[in-house]
Parts: sequence; structure tokens; C-alpha cells
Amino acid sequence: MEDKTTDIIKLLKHQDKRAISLLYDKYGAALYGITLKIVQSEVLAEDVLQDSFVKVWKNAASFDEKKGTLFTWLLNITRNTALDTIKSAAFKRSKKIQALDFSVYDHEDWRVEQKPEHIGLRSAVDNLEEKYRLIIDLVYFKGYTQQEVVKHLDIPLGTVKSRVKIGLRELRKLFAESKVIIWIFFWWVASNLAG
Amino acid sequence: MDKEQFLASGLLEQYVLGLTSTQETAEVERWLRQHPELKEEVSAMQDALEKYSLAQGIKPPPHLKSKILHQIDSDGPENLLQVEPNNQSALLIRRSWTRFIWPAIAAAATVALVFTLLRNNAMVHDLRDAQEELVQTKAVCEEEAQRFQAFIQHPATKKIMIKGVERAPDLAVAVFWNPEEKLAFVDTSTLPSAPPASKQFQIWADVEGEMINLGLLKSAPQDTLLPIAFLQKAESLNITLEPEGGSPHPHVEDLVASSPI
Repeated sequence: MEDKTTDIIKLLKHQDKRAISLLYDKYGAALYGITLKIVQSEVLAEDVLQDSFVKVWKNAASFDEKKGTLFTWLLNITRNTALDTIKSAAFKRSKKIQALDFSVYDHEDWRVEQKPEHIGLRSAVDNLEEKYRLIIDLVYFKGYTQQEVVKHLDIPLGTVKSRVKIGLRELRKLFAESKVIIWIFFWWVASNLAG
Repeated sequence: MDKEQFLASGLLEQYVLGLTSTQETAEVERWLRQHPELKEEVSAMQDALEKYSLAQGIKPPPHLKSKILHQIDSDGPENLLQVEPNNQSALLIRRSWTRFIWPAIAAAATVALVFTLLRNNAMVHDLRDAQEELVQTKAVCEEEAQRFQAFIQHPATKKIMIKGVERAPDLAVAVFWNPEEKLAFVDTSTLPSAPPASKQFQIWADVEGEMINLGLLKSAPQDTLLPIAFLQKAESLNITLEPEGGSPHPHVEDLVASSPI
């Protein structure tokens, strides 16, 4: 997977359009999922994803591997585009951003179509405690600052900070390579038993 | 703060999630430089977040990919030049042809437009010149016509019909003769439209038994008055058929018309 990412970066740096196609195949669903969490509209999410990939293409040369991972870069572009979209959408409706209800997509209504590479990952997500998942969703997917999380969840800053720390550690445990293999194994056993 | 304390502080997690202030970011980056093994911690966390994101992916509508690729096909990347990091001296310049196609079309269109405008302008000028010329010519023509009209209607103007001789009984050439103005004109409409091949009509005045050349007669495309020399002492006007280009002396045997004044 790492080698594939390196190849995509090379193509991107050489302004080869195949890079966008490969990026879309690899990260399109993840970015669409995150965009949906933010804009809560399939129509808007489609526009956001399109705008984001065009920005990625136009700013391909500005990607710096030393500053962060390819996915982080893509996520930042997509998240900012999505946030700008709801800001202008909210502005159009004369509503404040805070007034938007984020709860709709926080629940399990949206399920990824299971791809072979993601088998087992979904159950890893489910195994992350709700309170940590909520913090990571707000901060990582929706770009909340810790202060905004304090306001949104009405919990002290210290709690936010400790949940960020523990949440990320839990996530790491769940998604470490070896753990993923175990989850895949469990998933395989479970589906066989069920079948 | 030692390394254990630093790890326990949770700053590294906040850094990975982009939650650190500028000051805290600088601090974390200092730690990463001093303890390269911490970079592995960072990348392990980034890797976990990426997998977490992938696991929650939702398949976008199927048409979206081609829509995006189509838009990218019509838009070039923002950066014109790109320096290969491995080959700084060579300054490898990469271009995407699509980046240049629209500016090229625009430039070509501009050149074409400028060219057309210049050409248009030149044509307008030519047209104006032609119009002016036409107006002038028309004025000259009108003036001429008025002059002819005035000449023909002048009380002293005589219309002399030079009658064909025996061998050309149908011939009758009209000449306007004005001794007062000392002007003479042949009405070319009365000349045969096509004289015999390589022959030309020539008009002579008979002055005291001597034939004096008054001019060569050419049938004009339009009916017009052709000026000829005026001789006060002319007693008669005679037309002969001479070889093309005329003769210094008339061939009397070729006389076709003659009339006294």
C-alpha cells in the first residue's frame, strides 16, 4: 500500500492525470464519507468532492511529503472545501454554522460498501468506544478546534484533551497491522459461523 | 520534560490531529528532530487515522469519477513550471499540453480578430476611396454631359450629316460643328460599330483643295461625342477608310462619306 502511495505521488508530481484516477479509487469513498458527515447532503457532497479533486489537481505541485501524508493533504483540502460550502450554504439560509445539526450522519445509517481491503476494518471502527469516536469525528473529520468541541459537547477542555490522547491510542491499537489481521480473522470466523 | 513526560502529555496526538498552536507545533517538531524514533509514532497514528477513514468510506455516486476526470481534462494544473527535486540543475520543465491549448486558441483568435479588424479597416478605407472617386467621376461626367448638352444646344452649333458615297449609301455620320467656339465633335453612335478588319475611319477637312487630317475615328463602347480638330477654313468634311493607325494623306479611292459644310 505504501508503494502504491509513492507511485501516486510521483504521478501527481509529474502532473499525470492518472494520479487523480488512482487517488479517487483509493480515497474517493473515504473522502466522500467525510464530506457527507460535514455537508449532510449528497448533492452538496458530490460538488464538494468534485471541487476538492480539481483543487488537488491544480495544486499538485504544492504537495510536500515532508509536511504530512498524502491522505492528510487530501483530507485538509476536502474538509476545507466542505466547510466553505456549508458556511456559504448556511450564509444563504442566514443561519449560523453552529445551528447545523450534525447528528444525522453521526449514526450508523451510512455504511461503506464492503471492499476486500476494508473487510474487518468496519468492525474495528465499531470497536472504538463511542466517546472517542465522537471526538475524532469532530476534530479530524469536521475540523473542530478543542474549544469548539468543549462548546459542542459541553465537557471540560481537560476531558477533551485526554479523550483526544486516549482515543488516538485506542485507534492505533485497533488499526495496527497485526490487529487488523486479527479482526479480519474474527470477521471471517463470524461470517462462517453465521453462514 | 523528558521523553516519557512528553509522550504522556498528549501533545503528539494533538499535533497529529492538527490541534496544536503554532508554538506547540514548533515544540513538537523540535522533539521530532531530536528524537527521530518519535516520527514512527506520528506515522503510526497517521496510518491508523487513514485506515479509520477508509473503513468509514461511503461509495460516491458512480458518475462522479468520470465527471471529475472530465473537468480535470478541461482544466490544466495551476503551476506552469515544475522543478524536479532530484535534478535541480537541469530545471526540468514539464508542461501539460492542455494548459496551453486554451491560451493558444485565445491567442490565435486574438490574432485573427486583429487581422480581420485591420483588413476590415483597410477595406472600409478602400471602399470610401472608391466611393469618393465614383462621386468625383460622376460629377465630372455630369459636367461633361452638361457641357456637351450646352455645346449641342449652342445656337452656333451645326449638325452636319456626312453622307455615305455610292459604295456606302447607308452611312451617315453626325458631326457637331461650331465655328464660334471653334469646336468639332463626331457622334460615334452614328459610326458603323465594326469597320472592316485592320481598317479605321479617318476624317479630313477639305481646305482649298487640300485634305487636312482632323482625326482618327474610333467607335466607342458607348455613344459619345469624339472631339476632332476644328478648321475655320474647312469647306467639306470627308471620311476615308484607312489602314489601322491612320494615314498622313488620304487614299481618295477609299472615301466613304463626304459632305460640304
